[in-house]
Amino acid sequence: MRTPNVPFHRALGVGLDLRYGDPHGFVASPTGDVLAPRVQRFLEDHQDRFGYAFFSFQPRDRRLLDPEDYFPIWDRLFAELPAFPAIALHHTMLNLGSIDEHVERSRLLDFTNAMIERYHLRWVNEDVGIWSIDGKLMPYPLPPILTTEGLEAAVRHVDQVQRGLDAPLVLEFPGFSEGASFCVGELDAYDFFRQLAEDTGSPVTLDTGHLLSWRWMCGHRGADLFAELERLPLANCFEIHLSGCQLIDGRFADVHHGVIVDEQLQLLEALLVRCPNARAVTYEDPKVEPNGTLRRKARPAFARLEQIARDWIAGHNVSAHAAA
Amino acid sequence: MQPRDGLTAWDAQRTLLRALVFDARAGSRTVTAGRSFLVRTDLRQVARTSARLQSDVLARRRRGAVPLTEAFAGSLAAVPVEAHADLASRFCRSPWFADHGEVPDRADQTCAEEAFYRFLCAEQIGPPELRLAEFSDAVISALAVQPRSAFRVPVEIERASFGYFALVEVSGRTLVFAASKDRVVRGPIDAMAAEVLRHRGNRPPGSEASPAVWRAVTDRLASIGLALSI
Repeated sequence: MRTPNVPFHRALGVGLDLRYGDPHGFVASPTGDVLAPRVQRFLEDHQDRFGYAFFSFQPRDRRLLDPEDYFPIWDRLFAELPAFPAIALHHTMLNLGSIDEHVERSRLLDFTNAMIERYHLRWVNEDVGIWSIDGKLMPYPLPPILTTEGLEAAVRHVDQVQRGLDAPLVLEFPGFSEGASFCVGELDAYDFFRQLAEDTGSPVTLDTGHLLSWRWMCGHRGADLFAELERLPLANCFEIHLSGCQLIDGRFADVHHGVIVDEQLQLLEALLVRCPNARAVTYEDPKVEPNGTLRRKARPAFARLEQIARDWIAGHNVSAHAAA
Repeated sequence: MQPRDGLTAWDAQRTLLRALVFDARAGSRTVTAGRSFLVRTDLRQVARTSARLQSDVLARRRRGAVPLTEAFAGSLAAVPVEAHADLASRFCRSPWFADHGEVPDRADQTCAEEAFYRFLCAEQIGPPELRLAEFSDAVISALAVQPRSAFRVPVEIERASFGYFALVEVSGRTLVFAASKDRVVRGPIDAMAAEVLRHRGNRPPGSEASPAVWRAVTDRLASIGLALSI
């Protein structure tokens, strides 16, 4: 298994989706696109609390993908950012669950490798999903087709990307956010994902919101949301994600608004005792006030997340109920 | 699900998923055939997702461009807003939609503006001249921001040394839409300037305009950012 080489044993990190023209991403300035000041401030204030950072790739415009168009912006990003010990890339275009007839990724892989080389990116991850169909972008990635044939296709895609990338590819369990996606196929997503990780020898990211969204979609509630974790590729787990989730009208939504729910923290604890090779826990897409402080509603759960991560990094046992 | 003759199970699954996403009618027709395949599928979720995607197609603000409903506001003037969902649904089932793409690592795809324009033409929505003017304006605006675009430049758009341009006749007037170094030039243009543009500044043999007049017009175009290298 090609596991990321990271300069830490265990760490809490931060993940940011850097969209252009977004108050939490890149904003226009007289000298070009710059990281939003509120995010810059947040990262500076939290520099000692995060052992790594990852940034989600978003295309800047409708130009044909060319790293030279991105270097000035990303050079500046890294020049002005606090120096995190490790940086990774969350991709959004690998389309690992693609159903397209022909998938040509050479330009995309060349682009990604140029970014890996220039910014020393330690790993690349992406949700195993359908991000586009025949060039049409999905508003939210659809899960892969959960059939034997869908699994075989995903294995082919992952193999191709793994071979073409100069950094380890970490597969992320896809989201099943209600109202934004649906799933087809008869396989259980946990089984599908485990088989994919085993067949491709891939390290994986387990996103707590995504796992809960699958269980929720299957009709599980209460303690059953946390059941059957052994069906996941736990030994392959390198990273765990927590992004803001919310129950909206009885539906589980992966809204990325920075407010982590109790169930995610419970699941994190349950995973940490079961994933012996986990190295990274990521707070994904924090939302911050204009002065750079975390949104008030997000603070209690973030404080708990930090405590859980501190205990885990120190090697302390997590709470007894998590291991039960 | 049982694949039809000559189709693999994977082909059948992909076809069904495409239908569910882009063509709710075809999707619902195939639900019976794909019952086991859809055992975990909540069809209400399919409807919500498909509706979101279709509304997104018309209303999304593409990077460096306005939504299609804004770009073609004049052409769509006769289409009530409450009918836009049906319009989006028909567009998503059209061959022009099928041909277009928006991923940034491909240059061989038709852009959304062109696909929607061809669809509007086929459905005869909006006055033809206005439709063409709005289409030209939308594509030129996109090309001004990203000259090396991740889409094929439509045949109606012409290349020139300064960038791209289109000349459109509307109500007896010639309008120019041109993209040049992050700059968009749009508006009425006189017949002589249009002639110079059509010939990329090269005075054709037998032109009624004298070389001096021709040069003066070329200079005038250059002064508004449309410099032609002759």
